[in-house]
Amino acid sequence: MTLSALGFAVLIWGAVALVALVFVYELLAVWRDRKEADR
Amino acid sequence: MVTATTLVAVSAVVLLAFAALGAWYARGRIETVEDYITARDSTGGGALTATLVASSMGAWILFSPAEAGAAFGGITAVAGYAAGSALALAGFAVIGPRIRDRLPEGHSLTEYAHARYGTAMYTYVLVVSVAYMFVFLAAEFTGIASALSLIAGVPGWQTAAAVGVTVLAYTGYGGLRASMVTDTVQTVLILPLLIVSVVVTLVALGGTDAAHATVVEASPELLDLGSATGLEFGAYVVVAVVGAEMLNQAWWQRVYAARDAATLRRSFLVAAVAVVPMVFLAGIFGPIAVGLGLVEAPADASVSFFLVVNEVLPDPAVIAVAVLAVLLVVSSADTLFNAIASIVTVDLPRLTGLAGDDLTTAARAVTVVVAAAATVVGAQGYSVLTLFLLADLLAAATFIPLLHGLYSTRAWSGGALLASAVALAVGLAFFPPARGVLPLGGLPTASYFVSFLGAAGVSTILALLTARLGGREYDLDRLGDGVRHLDDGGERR
Repeated sequence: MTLSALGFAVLIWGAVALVALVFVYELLAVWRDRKEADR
Repeated sequence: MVTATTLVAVSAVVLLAFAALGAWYARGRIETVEDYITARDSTGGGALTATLVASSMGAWILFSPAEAGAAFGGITAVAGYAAGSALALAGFAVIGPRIRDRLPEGHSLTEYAHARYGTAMYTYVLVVSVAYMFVFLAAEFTGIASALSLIAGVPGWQTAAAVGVTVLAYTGYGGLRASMVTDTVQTVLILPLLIVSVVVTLVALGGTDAAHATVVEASPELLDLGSATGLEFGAYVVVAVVGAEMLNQAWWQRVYAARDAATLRRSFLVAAVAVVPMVFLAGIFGPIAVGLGLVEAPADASVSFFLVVNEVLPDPAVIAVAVLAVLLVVSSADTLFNAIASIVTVDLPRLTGLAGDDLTTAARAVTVVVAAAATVVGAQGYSVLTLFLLADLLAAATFIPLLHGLYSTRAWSGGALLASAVALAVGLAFFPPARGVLPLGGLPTASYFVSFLGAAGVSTILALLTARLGGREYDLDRLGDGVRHLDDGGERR
């Protein structure tokens, strides 16, 4: 079964969105670490 | 066309910035060898997740997944790479807390191997682990040298030397702590750079529909979700990656660096989720390169990512991709420098009686040797693929008997060694490169699929069988008894 154009787009943009989500999570987690360390 | 001078200048700025950051952060924080190689219980969730993502995502993600996508079965092969990378990290979310619980004062996997199985298994695991990590390191140096050479004609020795010297400067001085703080910043840069690289490339190609059409027109089989070649590749690469990563000292160091078991579990799981889309996005460049007609020779497949980037992106975007590649290699090189140094250093008190400042000096000396060797090998441009696969096979035959001892009271040294040795023999019998070296004429056709799955399967069966039939009983509560804290002259705390 060949991946359709829609499936291809969903996979790529889904992966981009997931990397972006991890980036935001990472920023928040590092910021939280810093806040805890400053306490 | 990006010039070599521009690329060297930009890379130098990036490298020097990280050398300065690592050295600045480590200043005053490295008082003992424990600080240098373990950073025990010191790292919160944000920094731990970041160091896991940065350390696992080396420059290899810009080469191997795209190569798999172009030459070894298309999108299913890429999915196999992504799954293998994720499963290895997820595996540590499970065994990591167990390692901390059973060996609370531990530092390395070889220390565990020695405590659980004795000298023979320890020696075997030490060789396999160091071989894997060094080949990984050499491949990273080779990869970045070939990438910058392809983009702007930068001589390989210049790239390897620049990366080797600057990473050594901060890792040699600041050890694991310097490596982890730079990893945090690198992750925060790598993630958006990867997104930008992919999105800008897709826009330049005319969108995902245009990219899809290009691949379908040239090689529709690369987008076949049921591709037998791709599924086969995906299956064995999962075993190869998981096996090798279980013997990667970098993860064992970070198991102990985590602030607590909950932080460890969460960070390894988040990192496992993070690497899947990263590997996938890099890997999709393989089929796209084929679609664009850029993969003309088999050797082109491994540089598919850079062929596409060079073809469709303007110079500033190409420089951004080069910076991404430099960040990726630096983030894994610092990790591996310190991992190899730590795995050697941990055993020095037992073998030589070294302690205190002498031990820290020895750890730094080992880091210098590792950096010099990686730089020299990386500058040569050797193909390390066969060595990589061999190291992966050794690990695939070893990791299950090794880790079985963390859970089973019946596992014993002879059984674990037998399981690993027989599994390795089976794996080698079907290992394609071995066919030209060993007299294996009468056997069925060699394939990596049979080789890796055979090695992992046989080692599992024999590990369980020998444990059941051996009639031994080991008290897991005393596993940590022989594992010493390295400070205070090696006295146990």
